[in-house]
Order: sequence, then structure tokens, then C-alpha cells
Amino acid sequence: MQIPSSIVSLTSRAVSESMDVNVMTHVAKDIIDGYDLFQRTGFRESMVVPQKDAANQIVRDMARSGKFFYFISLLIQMHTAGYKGRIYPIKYLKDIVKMINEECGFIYDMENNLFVEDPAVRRTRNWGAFLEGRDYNLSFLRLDIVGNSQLVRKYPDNLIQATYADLRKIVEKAIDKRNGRIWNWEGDGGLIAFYFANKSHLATMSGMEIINELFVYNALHCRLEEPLKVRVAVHAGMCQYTESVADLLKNDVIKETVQIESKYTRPNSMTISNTVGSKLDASILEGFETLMIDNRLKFYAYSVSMEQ
Amino acid sequence: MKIAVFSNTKNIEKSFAGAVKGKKHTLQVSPASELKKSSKSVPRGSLIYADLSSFKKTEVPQVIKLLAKLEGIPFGIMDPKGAVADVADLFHNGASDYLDAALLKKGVDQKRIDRILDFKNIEVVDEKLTAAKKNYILSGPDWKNIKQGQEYTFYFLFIELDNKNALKGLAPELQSDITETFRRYVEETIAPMNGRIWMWMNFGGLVLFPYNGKQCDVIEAALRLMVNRKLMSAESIQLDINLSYRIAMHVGNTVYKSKGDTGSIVSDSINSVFHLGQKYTEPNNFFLTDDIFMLIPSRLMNYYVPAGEYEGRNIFRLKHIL
Repeated sequence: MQIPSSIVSLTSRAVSESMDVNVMTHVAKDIIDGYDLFQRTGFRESMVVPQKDAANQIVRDMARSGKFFYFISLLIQMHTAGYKGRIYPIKYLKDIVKMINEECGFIYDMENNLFVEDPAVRRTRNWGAFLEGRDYNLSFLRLDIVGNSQLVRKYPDNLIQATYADLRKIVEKAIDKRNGRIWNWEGDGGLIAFYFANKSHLATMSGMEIINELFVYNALHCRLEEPLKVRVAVHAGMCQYTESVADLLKNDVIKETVQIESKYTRPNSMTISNTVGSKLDASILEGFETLMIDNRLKFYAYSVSMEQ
Repeated sequence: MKIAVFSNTKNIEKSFAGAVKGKKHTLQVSPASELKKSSKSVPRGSLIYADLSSFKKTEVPQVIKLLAKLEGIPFGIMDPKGAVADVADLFHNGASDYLDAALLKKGVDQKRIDRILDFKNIEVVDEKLTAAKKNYILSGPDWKNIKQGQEYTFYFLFIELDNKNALKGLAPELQSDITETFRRYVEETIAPMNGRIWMWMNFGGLVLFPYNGKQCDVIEAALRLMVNRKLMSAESIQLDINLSYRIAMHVGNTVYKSKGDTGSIVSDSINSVFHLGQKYTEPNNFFLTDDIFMLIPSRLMNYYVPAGEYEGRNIFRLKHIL
């Protein structure tokens, strides 16, 4: 992403007025492995790089490498929590954060200490925040249409397409308001990731809403001669982020989520793992059925049905 | 649904074993002599079978006449001895089913009962709907043409929390937070269907939807409110309380006045829906009057079961959502 020159310029000023060359070099090395200020500026190692030149170079390099927001979040940390045992008051920090919000459409998330895209401005798969190859703690919701192959064979293509589009709308409505992102969507289902706030709670609430809305949809609007059924699973864990969907799906936590959905989930119900269940209030779990998979493994199931 | 059989034939319940097997219907067998007395107390929506072999030949015309007079209750005739010469005449007199010896031996199954009810439902609903619509004053699909002080037909939705006692025990600020969250939740759910909260007390209120003379699509909002109870408690309230609420719906007329200016309105429909909601609807349930039941989408009719009669109206209950 191109960082506007006004923000780069103000940040350079802030860095040069808030720390010496030695500290700013350390910070740069924390972000870019093997960062060499002399090589970047062209100054000989026997010379002292002027503070202003060093700040200009480092900030420009951060912007060029795509790590500018990460750099700013580190400056916020230095300002609030400190860096290597010392607080560094950073000048113009409020102005920089405000400009990033107004000119780039990114907001600072204090809980996770990173900049994320403002959902009102844009929605990308990684919230505009994840870096390639880094590990993140996420919650996942996996959804799959039950009996997709039979449905595709039984009904005309346009009917199936319209029905699946209806389902996608239900899913999008449930996850968008809870800041979830679709990481993968195939014809018959998909994978949704949640990162912010109480992510396990949000993923579970999204799953409940999908099951509930599908109940209403089947009662009133379903285009097929039979109810549309899905299986939903929610699980959480560490995941290494990559732009490649194929590689993303190789993460253990995602494989486990898929397994919970396909092996342990009944049609038209949601199964949540114990990892997720442990993050929820007891009153929420009261509405769930406990599934003992074995002596150690416990899941919880949620479904909506009607008295016979 | 209740199947009320009036017969003196031994083991007659065996003929209905298939009908009640699925537990969708229940069976009550009474002596034939009780038909005259008991038929009047059989709840609407039930199905009566009279065994003609248990009556004297001279009593049969009176039995048919009595059954034909029962409004809203379909009836069938059991004729194990083949005494009826003109079966078609029974149907001309309003009968919905005829079981001869062979059919009684084979047994009545659930599908047969369901077919009778479906047929009678359509028939009764159409007649009533035409009569009811004569009194309706269309308010349009939305609020654009609704004027202060004018009378219109509206869909009324009464909603009230059941957890009043638990909530009254909370600190006033917390109690008000919860009830306000609940009010907002109701408002957000009804808004897409053009619903507006018209009156609101501490724990619930009355919602109006404009009535355009067409199918009652607004039922979707009420269904959604019932389905989302757990989600609403978990997400919006975030307390160790699973909120429960009751809903009652009716369609009828009232003079429209803006919110807060409703004190002087006298309306039978408003009284009815408040009485139905507060005095008859059971906690955690959704009841509606037959006036509105006639207007709901046909694919939803199976979601409701008869729930008796209240203030002269047949009431239906949404089957429990588990």
C-alpha cells in the first residue's frame, strides 16, 4: 500500500525528534532483519549519520517494505509501554494515527496492537494487518452444505446457484457485523476467520445466527423442495498466515476445524470445540448439547428444531 | 390434534392406533351416549368420529345434524355395519370422512387424518377470510399514507419478557440496561418488515405493522424473534440470564395516533391482543388468533397447532422451538 508522503514526512519528523540514531536503528533491525543504516544511507561506517537523515531513510524503508503500520504500532508501544525498559515519548503520534485513519482507512486496534482496515472503508481477507509467515491466534468457522452432490444432480443449475447465493448472503450478514472474514468459499461452503475482540464468542454467535437464519429461510423462502441443510464447526488456535489459500488450509488448526465439521457435526447443527467452549460463558453453553467424543475430547452442539 | 371418538364398539381404539402412533395426534374414546354432551366441549381444531352402529337407527339423523352444527370441528362417520345407504349425503351434510368395516379393520393412519385437516383448514379459512376482510381498512405496505386520527387495519404484535421477577431483583440501572437492550433488539428485528414499536412498558410492548390486504409476511419477524432467543441472550444481554419472552399476534382495526399519544384510544383489537398476550399466552410461547392465522404463508401453517379458544377466537400456538 502506498503511504501518503504527508504521513511519511510527519513520521520522519516524529522519529528524528523523539529518539537518537542508535535507538531508531535498533527498532529498524527489529522489524527488518539485518537492516543496515549505513548501506541504506550511503554514509561510511566511520561517519555519524545525522539524526534527520537516519529517520528519513528508516521511515521511507518501512513504507517501501510494506511494514509501515507495523513500525507505527511499535512507536505506539514505545510511547505507552516502553522499549527495552524505557519509555520514549513520540511526538505527533496522535496526528499520525489520525492521518492514517483519515487518509489510509486504517484504525489502530489497541488490544492486538496493530493497525487494521476500517470495515466501513474496505474489507480484505487479512484485515489489512497480517504479515506473511507470522503466527496469529484466530477462531475459525467452517460451513459445509449437506448433500451438495445430490442437490446438484437433483435440481437445475440456476435453482442451485440462487439457493447457494441465498446461503452466502445469510453467512455474510452473520459474519460481517462480527468482523469475520471469508478466507475460502467454494460452491458448497467455506471457511471464515475471526481475529478481534472475543473471537471465539464472535465465531460462535455467527454460527448460531447462521443456523437460526437457515431455520427461518427453510420455513419461508427455501427454493428447493426440501430444507437446505448445513454443518457448521467452530474451533480456535494458532495459524501461520500466508497469502496462498492452499498453504493456509494446511494449518493444523484449520484441518482440525474441517474434521470437526465433517466427522462430528450433525446436519443443520453447529459443533464447537472445547477450546472455543472454554472461552464462552456457562449460560451460553446451557443451550448446547455436550458431545463426549472420547475420555478427553469434548465438543458442544447447537441446533434448532421444532416439536413434532 | 385431538381425535375424539364416540363409540360403544369394543377395542375401537385399535382402528386408530396408526393415527396416533406418531404422537402428532391424540385419541380420546367416549361412549356414544356422551356425544351430545361432550361434543360441545371438544376444542376447536379437533376431529370427531361418531360410530353409527352405537346409535339407534332413529337417532342417526339427529347425530348427523348435531355434528354438522359444530363450527370449526370436522367430523367423520364410522359405519361398521354398512347402515348408511347414501354415503354422498353424509358429505353433503358436512362430513369429512367415512369409515366402513373394511377401513376400520385396516385402520386409520396419520396421513388420512392430516389430509382431512388440510382440506378442512382451507375450506374454513377461505370462508372466514372473506368475511373478515370486509371490515379491514388497508393501511398500505408501509407508513407513508397512514394519517393521525384515522382508523386502519394493522397487524399487532404483543411481546413481553417472562423473566420479570428475576429482572426486578436486579439493580435498577442493570434492569434498565437489559430492558433497553431488549427493546432495541425488538426494534431492529421488526424494522425490516416495516414494524414500529407503538407502546412500550418496562418489560415489553406493542408493535404495529401496516396491513396491505395481502399475505402476512410480517410473521417472519415474529418467527425470527422466537428462534433468536438464545442468541439474543448470549450476545446482547451478556448476563447469566437466558431471557424468555412471549409473543401474541392479532390483526384488527384501530385509530392511529402517534407514539405517546395513545392513551385515549379505545380499540377492541388492542384489548384483545393485550389480553391474549398477558392472560392466555404461555411463557416462552408465540400464540396468534385465527384472524391472523388465515393470512400467514401456507407453508407456515404446519408450524402451528390449535391452542383452544380465547375471547371467542380460535387460537394457534407456534410449535415449540427446541
